[in-house]
Amino acid sequence: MVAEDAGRAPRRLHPITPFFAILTGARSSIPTALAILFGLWRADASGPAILAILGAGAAAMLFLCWLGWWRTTYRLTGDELVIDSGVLSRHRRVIPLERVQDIGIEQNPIQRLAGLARVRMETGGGGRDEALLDMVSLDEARRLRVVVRGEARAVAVDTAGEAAESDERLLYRLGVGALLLSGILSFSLFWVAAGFGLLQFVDDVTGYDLGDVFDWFQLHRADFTTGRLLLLPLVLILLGLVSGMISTLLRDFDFRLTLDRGRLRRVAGFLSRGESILAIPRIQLAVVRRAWLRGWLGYAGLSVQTLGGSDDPGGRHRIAPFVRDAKLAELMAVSGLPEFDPIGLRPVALAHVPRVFLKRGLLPSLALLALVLWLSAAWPVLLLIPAILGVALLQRRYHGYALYGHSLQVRRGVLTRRQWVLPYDRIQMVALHQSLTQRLFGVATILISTAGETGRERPDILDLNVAEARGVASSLIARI
Amino acid sequence: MALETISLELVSRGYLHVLRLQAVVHTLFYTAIAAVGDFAAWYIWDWPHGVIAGPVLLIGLWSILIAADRKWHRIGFAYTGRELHVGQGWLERIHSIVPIARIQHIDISRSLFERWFGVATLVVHTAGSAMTLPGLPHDEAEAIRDDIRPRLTAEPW
Repeated sequence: MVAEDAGRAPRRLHPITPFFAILTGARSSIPTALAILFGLWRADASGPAILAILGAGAAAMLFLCWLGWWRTTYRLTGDELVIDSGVLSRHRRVIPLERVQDIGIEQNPIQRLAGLARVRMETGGGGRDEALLDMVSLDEARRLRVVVRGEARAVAVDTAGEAAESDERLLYRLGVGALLLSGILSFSLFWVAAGFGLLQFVDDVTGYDLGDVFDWFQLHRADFTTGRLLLLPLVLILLGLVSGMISTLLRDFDFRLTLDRGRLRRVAGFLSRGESILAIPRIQLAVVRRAWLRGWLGYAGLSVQTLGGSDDPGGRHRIAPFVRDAKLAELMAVSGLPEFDPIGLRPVALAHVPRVFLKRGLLPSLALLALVLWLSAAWPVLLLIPAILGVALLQRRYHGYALYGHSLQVRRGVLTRRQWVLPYDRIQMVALHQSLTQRLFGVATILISTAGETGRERPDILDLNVAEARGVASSLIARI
Repeated sequence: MALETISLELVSRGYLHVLRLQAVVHTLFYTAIAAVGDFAAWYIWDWPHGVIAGPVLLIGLWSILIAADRKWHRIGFAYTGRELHVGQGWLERIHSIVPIARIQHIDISRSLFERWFGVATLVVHTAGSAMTLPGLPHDEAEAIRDDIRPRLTAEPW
């Protein structure tokens, strides 16, 4: 190693890391271990011999994990973080500290018990997780944060973290009452679906398969009365309520957002408590989500997009999960973004209605018809078809865009209404897109590319008349 | 600048040859696989010769003789000095506009076929996404790159 200043010597992750690594690795090595056991059993090996072989295998794995830990070092050299890793082929990663945009400290339940943490730094160089230090002590994590934020002048390492925290201004906190309300309103069928997925998995293991279920349905078809079939949605709703409640409690428990010298800091979570920090100048755009039940009652969720992305769902930082409009306006102002203004929104072309129906509604409608033909007792589902048509009509009503003084604003979605606020200088690229059906209807979609974009929730403007789309695209380009 | 006034220029005719050659390579590849399938089907089930490879070959010929030309005709570009426009797509059309001030880095790539016909592919990357412009004459691609190079953004986004 090269000569280094005192205090900047290479450090390793916490010595407990290899033991955790072997625990997480154990799951994947179970099949191998079973195969070896089976082979030994076939070869009539004695009990002690089997134990000895398994023990030797475990020891070898532990040694490999330990070697991996021993060969992984990191050090801070003034303005860079250098991470060396690799047992045989060495890998060096150099991260200039001035390029670090966000630094997050996360803890899962086990890490909380052991006083350990995971430090994540994002530099926005395209790839994610550019620097990930899994398993360092909490004090070390705080020290790293202090150094990375350029606060190395602070006197003592362990008091610096505390001192920095006392400067912070609390912007938003989710109280227990609001958390419970938010939980009740977070009706979600996602976890129900996940549960069914798990059932499917269990079925696979037990050799029970979906065909049997189908046969069973065929056999008992006469037993399904309309009344009983109506019970099914009720059960689903109940499951959705309970699962929404639990997932909200786990995720948003004691959600706090603070402001400290131009940085937003968020701490939240019940079992695993994560902390993430982002610098306000890095914010690219804001998305306000008004999910149906909460939206109708006047609550919204605010997330912002930064270049480095985020581990939060959708790849954007959730900075407030459950706020009313007044608080929302305050948080937007802190983030340096103009407020969303629905007054000046312009509608998209009429052709958006048939396009939405063709794209999203046709297949479900046909599926419902087929279901009723097969199982006539299920006739109430036909009532859903007008609902699907209605949604297609509403899609256009709720879709709108506006080019204001400093920002493009877009609204989209019927049940979950999303509002984008995108300052013009954050637009990276604009494209006009026409699919075959769009060409028949004479409309085009404006695709807007931003830094750090992920997923489908982009501020695109769907189905504008071609002439209008051209006009909007050129004025967007002119304002960049 | 209004989009109506932007007229997209066709890319170099050399790129049409590149597209045709690529289609030839693909056709040979898939027809060879289909021929193996044909042979197996004849051997096992006594299928007549060419029931698989024939249609594959026909599609291949269509892609060489017709589709390549259509595709080439639909690629257009315009470099205004302030932004770069690229239009492409036959059934599904897309017209992308990249402001030069947003370009983070810029690549020129040349495959073997592209070198044979003296064309190059220009790839510009923004912090959001990248845009590809194929079929520029090599010297023109370099001229655009050299024009953009001093203006690459130093901002991290």
